[in-house]
Amino acid sequence: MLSAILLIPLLGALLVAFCRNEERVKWIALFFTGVELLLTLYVMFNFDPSRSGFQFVDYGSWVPDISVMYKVGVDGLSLVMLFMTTLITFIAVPSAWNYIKERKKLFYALLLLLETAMVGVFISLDLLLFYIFWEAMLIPMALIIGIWGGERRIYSALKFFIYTFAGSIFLLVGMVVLVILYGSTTGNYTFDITELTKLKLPLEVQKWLFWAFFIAFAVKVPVWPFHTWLPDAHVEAPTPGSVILAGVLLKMGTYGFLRFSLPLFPDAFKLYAPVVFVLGVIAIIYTALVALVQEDVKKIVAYSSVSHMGFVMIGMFSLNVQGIEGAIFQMLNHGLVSAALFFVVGVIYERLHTRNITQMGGLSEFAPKLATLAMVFTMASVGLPGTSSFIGEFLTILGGFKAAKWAGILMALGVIFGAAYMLYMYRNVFFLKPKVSKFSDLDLRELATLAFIAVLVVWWGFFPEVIMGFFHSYVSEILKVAGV
Amino acid sequence: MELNPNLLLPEGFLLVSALIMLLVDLVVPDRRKNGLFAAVSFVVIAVTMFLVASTVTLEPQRAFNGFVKKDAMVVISQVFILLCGLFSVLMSYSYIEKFPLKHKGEYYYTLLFAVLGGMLLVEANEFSTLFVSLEVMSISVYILIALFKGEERSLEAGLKYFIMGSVGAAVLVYGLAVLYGLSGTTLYSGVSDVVNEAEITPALLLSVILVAVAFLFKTGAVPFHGWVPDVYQGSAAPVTAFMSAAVKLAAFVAFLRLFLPLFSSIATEWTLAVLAVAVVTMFAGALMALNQDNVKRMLAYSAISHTGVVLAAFVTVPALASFTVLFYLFVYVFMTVAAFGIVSLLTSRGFKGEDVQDWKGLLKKSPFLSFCVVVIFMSLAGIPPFAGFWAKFYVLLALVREGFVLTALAVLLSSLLSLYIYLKPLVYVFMKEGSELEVSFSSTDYVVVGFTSLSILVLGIFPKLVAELSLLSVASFLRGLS
Repeated sequence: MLSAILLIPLLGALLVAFCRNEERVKWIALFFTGVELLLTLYVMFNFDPSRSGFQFVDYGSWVPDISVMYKVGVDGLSLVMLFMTTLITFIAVPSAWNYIKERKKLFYALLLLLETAMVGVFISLDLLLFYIFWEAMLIPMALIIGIWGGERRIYSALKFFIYTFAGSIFLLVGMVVLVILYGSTTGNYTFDITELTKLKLPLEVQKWLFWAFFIAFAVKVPVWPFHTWLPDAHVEAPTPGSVILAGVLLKMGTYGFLRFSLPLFPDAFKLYAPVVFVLGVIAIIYTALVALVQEDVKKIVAYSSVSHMGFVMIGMFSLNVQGIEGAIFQMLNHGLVSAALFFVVGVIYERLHTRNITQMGGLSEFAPKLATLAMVFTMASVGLPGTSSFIGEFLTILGGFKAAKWAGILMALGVIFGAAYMLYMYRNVFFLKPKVSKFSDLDLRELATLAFIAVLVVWWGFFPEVIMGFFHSYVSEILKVAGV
Repeated sequence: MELNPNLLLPEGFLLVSALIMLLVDLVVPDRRKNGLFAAVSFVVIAVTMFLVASTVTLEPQRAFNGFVKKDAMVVISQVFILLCGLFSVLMSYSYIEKFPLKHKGEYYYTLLFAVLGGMLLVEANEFSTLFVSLEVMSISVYILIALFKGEERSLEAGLKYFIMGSVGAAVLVYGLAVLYGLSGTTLYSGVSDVVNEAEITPALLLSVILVAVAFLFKTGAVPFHGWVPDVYQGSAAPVTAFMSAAVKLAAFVAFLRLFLPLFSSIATEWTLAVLAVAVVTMFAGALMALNQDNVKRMLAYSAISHTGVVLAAFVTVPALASFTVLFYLFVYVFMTVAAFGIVSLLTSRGFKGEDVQDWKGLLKKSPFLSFCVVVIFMSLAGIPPFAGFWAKFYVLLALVREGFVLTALAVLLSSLLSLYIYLKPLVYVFMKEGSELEVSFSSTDYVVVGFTSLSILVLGIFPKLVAELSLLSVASFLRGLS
């Protein structure tokens, strides 16, 4: 089943590449991402949340001489990530509808390739397989930014590619060292994640490997001060690119921490938690302040992503049930909310051809539907109770408090800053005096997409258990592994 | 006497065919030469390949009293060298159509001689065979470069390569002579018996250094790399492809076969030296490639950087080293042929297309070639899911396993540096607009680029294929040593 989920976008990409009709490709893409989402839902319904460990496991021999296997499977964590990926890619297709006017075939083919790589990252159970998807993802993403991006697109695409690749280098060396250590202690070489996590490494070794993995994941998250590629990439990327960047790619980093760093190096994870708290708090406060002074709406949303990922980082490193559950929930929720906000920014940009906040204003007069939905997402981003963000932020702050009081307090302060820049942005864009003479409201396609996300955000805000039910057993299991 | 001449049937066939072509060249009218000779060369190489492949055995076989030794490593390397020859012939046909050459006949049979030299080089098991086959290959390549003599830069490249190569040959022959003096025999096995028993003397060290220097020359390692960029740029693209793929493969395999048995007793002494050369080479190559805009030049520096990576793999224990080196080289053959193939395809009159800036907007002209550009350059950069990733990965695995973690990190850092270079073609092809670049869809280059690019992709998804070839080679090679 999971192998099918992995292959379907690939098939779609091939079909798109060989399709003769430029207009039809967007429907093909929509169809394939839709099927992908349905298959994921099928897996979700058939997933047994009470069991720990991996389900739907598919495996086969791949490169036997170095014991690399093709092995995929999902547990609670992977499953929600998989769901988020397929959901957001499905949303990214209509967000590209009006935005991508040239080279549609190439665009949708790349988007589908990207989906395969992202899905692969979240369901791989073999370390090298994971790495391959992790790296393979760079090529389509860099091309999407570089071909359809804004003025400084080439610079941003290169920066994105080189930054992430630089981080991954340490991951690759760390992985190889880990596998060889495992091999020399057990006499049996393997890249199988479930096997590798059984190894208890001495703290001295854990320390080194922890940082090797940390750099790669931190760049992707991005953790302050590794975040500078992100505003560039976000601002220059076309709307669907930003949607996927914020929605999925950033979570690959945090996923890496939970999937690898925590179970493999639990002692180092605990040891360095305070360092991460400091970095996380700086990310939350500093980038919130930076967001406050931006004039480019896309930059505001981009910086808010860095800030929100700070919550996720602290939640994970707090190493308690609330923190980790909050972090996972927040990953999913931020995926949705930021994707929606980028969608909104994209809609505005398509109509006004500017992202400068000083040139907007009063849009609510022209576009009440857009204003209403944008309000929902703004409130969600601020963490208003009743939206899914509230649950995520609240739990991570609770986790932070339990682990280190000062971190919790500063996180709460970050929420206030967050409210400040989001409300400031909302006021300047939708209220005040109109600076434009005409602005058309959402069309049916845009309305449907945004309303769909809004429903999910509110639904999960009131019934978080719908999602959290999937990973309760995963979290208790991982805490057991980490020895907390 | 143990002659066993049957073993050399494929080489004999190639030699005789080339000689016949030499004679036929005199009577064929000039305008039909290119097509005819290309077709004949293609068939000859293909038949030779078939002959070689049909002799593959795990059990090593000797001929001419052990002057020549064939095992699976030799046979597989020979198949790859012949494959390079095939690609080169295909590329040459369309290149000569574009850049007319006076000596078409000479060109093709000289190419066959170069292939023959490479084939002999990998099976040499004795000093004079080693030297002669190396020279057969090198001299043929000098001629190939200089044949395009309408171009000043070809002459310059040919001369430069010739002078440098002669110095290399002199150094090699001197080192071999000292070794002969020490052991009284020229057979590898005889020499290694004596050398491994003996004390390490200055004379022995000198001979090792001289032989090593000669091979570093041939493979273009720092500090003997000076000729590489000029020669790569000055030569016709099909010749460059052949040099970069086949000559490098043959030289490295010969190096492996000579060094591992011969100098295993002093392995610890030269580990550090080789590592130093390797690390310097990969960084120097990557750094110097940074501001090159001429794709051929850029690829030349990237070839230097790749040489460094292969050299780094040399220091791991014999079995692992041979495996890693072979895997790397086999994959590298496809990558480098593909890279020069696409340069050859895109170059037109006045050498337009050699500069990466001419590649602007290729996406609009040919989506397929643009796709190949991604595959080729990302593979050279070592990004999965392409074959180049596995080549680099095996090197890493071997290095870490033998405890050279820092060297492994150096390999990766140098690939980070070179990533920028390999992204450049992507930037021009995909992200910049407007060009009047000619793309000839009918050319045989198209076949080469398409085939090699797809191979890179397929081997990236199923690296097992190359891994098994390399394993087979190493097993057979080691059996011959014991």
